[in-house]
Amino acid sequence: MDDRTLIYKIQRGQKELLNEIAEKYYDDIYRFCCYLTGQREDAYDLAQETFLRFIQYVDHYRYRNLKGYLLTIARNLCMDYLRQGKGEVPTDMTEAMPKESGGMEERGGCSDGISELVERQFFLGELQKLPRIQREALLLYYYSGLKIREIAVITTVPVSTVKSRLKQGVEKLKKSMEEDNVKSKISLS
Amino acid sequence: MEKEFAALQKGLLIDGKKRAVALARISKEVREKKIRVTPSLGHRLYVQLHYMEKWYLLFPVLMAAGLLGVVKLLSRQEGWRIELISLLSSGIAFMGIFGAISVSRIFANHMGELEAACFFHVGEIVAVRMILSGLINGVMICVCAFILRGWMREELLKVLVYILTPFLASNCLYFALFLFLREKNMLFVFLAAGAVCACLWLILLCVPWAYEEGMLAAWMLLLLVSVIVFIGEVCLMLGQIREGEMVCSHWN
Amino acid sequence: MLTLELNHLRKEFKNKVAVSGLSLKMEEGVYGLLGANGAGKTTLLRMLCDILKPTSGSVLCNGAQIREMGGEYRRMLGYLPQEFGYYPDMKAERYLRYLAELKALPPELIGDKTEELLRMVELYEVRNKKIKTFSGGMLRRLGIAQAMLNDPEILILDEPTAGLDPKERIRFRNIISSFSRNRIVLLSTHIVSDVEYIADRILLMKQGELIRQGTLGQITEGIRGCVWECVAQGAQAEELNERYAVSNLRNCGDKVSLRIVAEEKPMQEALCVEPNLEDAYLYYFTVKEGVGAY
Repeated sequence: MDDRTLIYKIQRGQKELLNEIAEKYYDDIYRFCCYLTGQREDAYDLAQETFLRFIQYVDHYRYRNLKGYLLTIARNLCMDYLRQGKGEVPTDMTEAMPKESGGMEERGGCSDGISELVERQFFLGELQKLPRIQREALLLYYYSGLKIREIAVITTVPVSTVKSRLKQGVEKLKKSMEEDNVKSKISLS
Repeated sequence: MEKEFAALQKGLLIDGKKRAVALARISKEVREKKIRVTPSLGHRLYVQLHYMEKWYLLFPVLMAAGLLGVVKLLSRQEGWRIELISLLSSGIAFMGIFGAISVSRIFANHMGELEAACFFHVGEIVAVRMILSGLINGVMICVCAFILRGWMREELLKVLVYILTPFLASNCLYFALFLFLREKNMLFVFLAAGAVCACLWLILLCVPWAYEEGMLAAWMLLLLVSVIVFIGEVCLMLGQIREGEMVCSHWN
Repeated sequence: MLTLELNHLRKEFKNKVAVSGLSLKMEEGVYGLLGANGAGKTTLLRMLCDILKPTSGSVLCNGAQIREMGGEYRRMLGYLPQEFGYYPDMKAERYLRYLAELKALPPELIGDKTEELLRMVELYEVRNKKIKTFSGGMLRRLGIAQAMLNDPEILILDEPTAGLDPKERIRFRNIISSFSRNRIVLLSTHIVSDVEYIADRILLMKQGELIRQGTLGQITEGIRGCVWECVAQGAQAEELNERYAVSNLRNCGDKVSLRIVAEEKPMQEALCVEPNLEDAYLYYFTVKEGVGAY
């Protein structure tokens, strides 16, 4: 069932379908909260709270882009979280290697090699160094795939501001990655 | 940049247990959630149309058709012109009772009190029924005016004024009776009032100069007064419904 | 926590004051409103349902004025009037569906909810019969069903068991008891036993005022020492019956056993007994003007 149909049926009384939406989008929202706040543990609560809020608002929600709407809620929650001074120190996003026992405890991850993992780790670390408004813009654009116009609405700034945040964010990120790459090569050698 | 961010899609293991706990909490919220629907005006019109008795929407149509038939027959007579308008407007004045009856039925069956405690308030229900009734009556009046204009070769506006004025003026009487009488069974009251109004407007058959050019201003004035009085009555009715005494059927 | 607060609620009509300056705070639970005809119970209920506008005072639901909340308050409400209305030629199931629409139930839920309630009040078999064919008891059951259509957080019932036989009355009590968790239920009735077993709090209303309120224990404790049982014969029994408020009278052979509510001992041999709610009703509405509340 597509999102539009889900929302239509929910608003007509089939509220159990809200569980389907949570199941479908939890992982994406969790990751978004995690990358934005830099906090692995608190991101579970932030993602949960996103859906609880959505359930509260669903009666009056006018369908347009469900994922975008969920991201808006998540983004606002994360911003409030960060404004409270939490998430000063990004937590370690080290991913464990996939367990050979095949336990079903973890979700996501993949069987990429170690070098891909290390690269991802490095990139995440650099991302956390960015100012939060640039990090947010980058995540919404590159990670969540939203359009600049949509990001402008979510972040309540003009389109030009979004563009400049993206540009500055990308530049800073590239520069930071280059510098740290050089440093790590020097330290290794 | 796209490549690096795309890689993030796959990355980051999510703790299945914590995820399950979050989803369980969400599920609990879903169980407790009460979906609140706010029906659109269109849906409210549909609900009244679907559930209410249809006769008081059909009767105006049947009556208008019958009146037109009679008028058509009589129009073949020589010299019958003004009489046609008088006859038609007399019949249409009577037709106005159906709208009033449909509103009074709510109160006659003591549904008013129950509906006053619903989300879709009895005042809104009354308004919706009046809109539906008004639409049907309005269409019938326009059709009659249009047809009569063709037969009489008169201006459409004039014919409309000659027909609309008795209709609205009579409705002023019906709603006044409804507001001030509060009988349990208003049906006979309305039928009697309708008959009286029909006869009164028929008197114009004996006053041919009432339809002369010079009298048009008087007709329009009467129409304007009727509109104002009718609107006033409707506002008064809705106000009294909101106050509540009007809807309560049973007093100790 | 759901709360309903009545602040100096007053309703005046042309020739009388039906409710005078009534204040009360209600939280979740079952409230039994007892009072004679003309006490103002129905007027009070109508004001709580946002049907009647108070002359002065207000009703607040979780701190907000219900007159201003309008539809959003009535959405939470279920109401069974004393004389409830219906279209005689409508079939029972269609009637419930119509009311479900008026209560803005989500469209997908209307069918299931209607069926569930018809089964609950044992009217499912006659769902396609016209309401005008229903007996008094069946009408009352239909009324209870419509009041519960929207799963109301606030349920207000005016004489809900009128016309119900004892079995139906017990069934009704059980329905209300199980329904009342996390909700406010207000039952207005003459029938003391309706309220005795299920009400968490009892409200006694007389001439527009709340003369007493409290739990069953608190109400009956208030008249401890005023309820007597005695046995008398013939003329003496008649005299006692005329002089005192008698809550129960039974013939035992040539003697008469009386249960009397009075502040003083009615006769030498009378025994003081444990008061019940009916005794309290008789005491406050016949014997004495009660003042104050717990």
